[in-house]
Amino acid sequence: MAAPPCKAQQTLCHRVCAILPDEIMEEIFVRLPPKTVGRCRCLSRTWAAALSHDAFVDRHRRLASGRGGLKLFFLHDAKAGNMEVRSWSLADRSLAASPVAVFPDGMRTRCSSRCHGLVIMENTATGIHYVCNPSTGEMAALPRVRPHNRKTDESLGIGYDARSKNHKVVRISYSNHRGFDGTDFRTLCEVYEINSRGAWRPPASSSALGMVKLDNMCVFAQGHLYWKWLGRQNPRITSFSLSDEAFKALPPPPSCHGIDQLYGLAELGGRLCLFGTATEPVQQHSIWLLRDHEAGVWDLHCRIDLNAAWPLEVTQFSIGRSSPSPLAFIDDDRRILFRVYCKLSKEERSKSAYKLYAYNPATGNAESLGFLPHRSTPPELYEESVVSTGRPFEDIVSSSPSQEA
Amino acid sequence: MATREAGKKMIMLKSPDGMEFEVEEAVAMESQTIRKMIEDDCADTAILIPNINSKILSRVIEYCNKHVPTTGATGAAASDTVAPAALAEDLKIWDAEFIKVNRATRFNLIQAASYLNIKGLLDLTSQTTIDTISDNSLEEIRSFLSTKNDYLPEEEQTIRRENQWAFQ
Repeated sequence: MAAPPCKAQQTLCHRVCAILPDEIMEEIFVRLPPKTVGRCRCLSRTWAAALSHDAFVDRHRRLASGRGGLKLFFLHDAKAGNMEVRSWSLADRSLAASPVAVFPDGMRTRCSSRCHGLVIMENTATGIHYVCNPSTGEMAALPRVRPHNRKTDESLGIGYDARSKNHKVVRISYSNHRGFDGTDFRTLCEVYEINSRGAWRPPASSSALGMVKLDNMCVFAQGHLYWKWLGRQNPRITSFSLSDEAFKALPPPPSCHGIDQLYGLAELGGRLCLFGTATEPVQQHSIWLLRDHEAGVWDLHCRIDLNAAWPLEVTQFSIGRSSPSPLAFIDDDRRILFRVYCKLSKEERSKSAYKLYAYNPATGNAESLGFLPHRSTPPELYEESVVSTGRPFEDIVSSSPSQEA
Repeated sequence: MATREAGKKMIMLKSPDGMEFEVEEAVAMESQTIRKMIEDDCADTAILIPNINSKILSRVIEYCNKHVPTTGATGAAASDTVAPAALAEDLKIWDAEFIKVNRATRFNLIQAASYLNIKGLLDLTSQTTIDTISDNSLEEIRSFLSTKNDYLPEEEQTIRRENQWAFQ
């Protein structure tokens, strides 16, 4: 067959028009399940280009998020040699029958920041971090940081820079730094751009963090990553702008004391949420939302009487997995979906699992929506998307430990 | 703004082959495209719907008639007597029956739903095609879409490796 020397675009136009015009084809393809999109990228070069285009990926994600109601995902260790991604639907109040995707054994969700369906996971066996898309099972290893002391405290967050239209991973770590008066530490920040095939680099802005320890919990909201400062002095929150790559300190809401121990961060309704327990004058769980990043203004969304709302499950008030954590606004923002890690039952006292609640601030009632399976990671909001995790960093496994002093 | 006369306000829709359809404004406003025209006051007389022939347009109107919310001024009685769940179930059965059409009609309906911006109809009409693409092998999808595989063997290997997750 004498193929005309046409460009791919013309071929697509001609070929596909035999069925439907391009714009109609797109209406169909933006509705495909993520894995099917991945397979269709292998149809031809033109399809690969069209289905990887930013505009397509973006539209696909927006359509998917409005479909089928709110869903959560978590990793479940089914003891089958791998980690299953399971999804839970608010509409059915039940688990999907089959796993969404499967990750290798040892994978754990690493931190709480999520962005456009991407999360960071760590392989606990190797210590390697990955950018993962739980809706597709796609994963790409991040370049390994200098292997000098593998057990450094570190915190990773993933977010989106709307200015450069890039997803970025930010890594905060601490290096020992011997001063004249004993051992000190330095807080390091490194940035990795997804799909850059590059390496970790310093942030564009030189705003230093200084001697600050940050919490592992990281949240992405409104173009910023947020961490809590650890340390009783100067209780505050640190923000990192994904576009300016600059840090900023954010004061907590008034009268929030002990945010390092008693408060946690989450993303709620697209905003940063600070939640936790005030012990004075009574024990109450407060939900604060950051209204304005620039001005640092907080809105108190509600206060929860823990003993009334969660009489059996809440056993401790410091922030950990057993404290109730907000996940999303539901029922037209009238209720908040919470997860609580608690005992499965009186009979099975040795087993704990995440339990889901719908809390109504107007009535103070918390309705139980059921348990998730035992041996699961904390449930997070599930976002179906074909956003790429980036190309895997190829030589990470083969690279030998450098001989750094 | 359009004023409400006695009873329901009617809108005239015209297909390019000269047919005219008189429909309730609420029904026509199931289409976001028409809703915008009405809200912008561009719909004084008849609205010409280009590229959608009378056969397809009548089916689209049939769909909108069925799916117009019953809670408005039009059918308060219906929502009083029928439980929402039963109503949803009824709609589902009706939809399944509605979409039992040949491929050419279905594609025409997709085009109409896309132009008129009727999300429910677009979801419904594209589902069969989505299922076809989801359930078949790459070779079968290529033949369905009349797409030629223009990858060199090594390129195909690479793209398959990059999208390995999609085949698991």
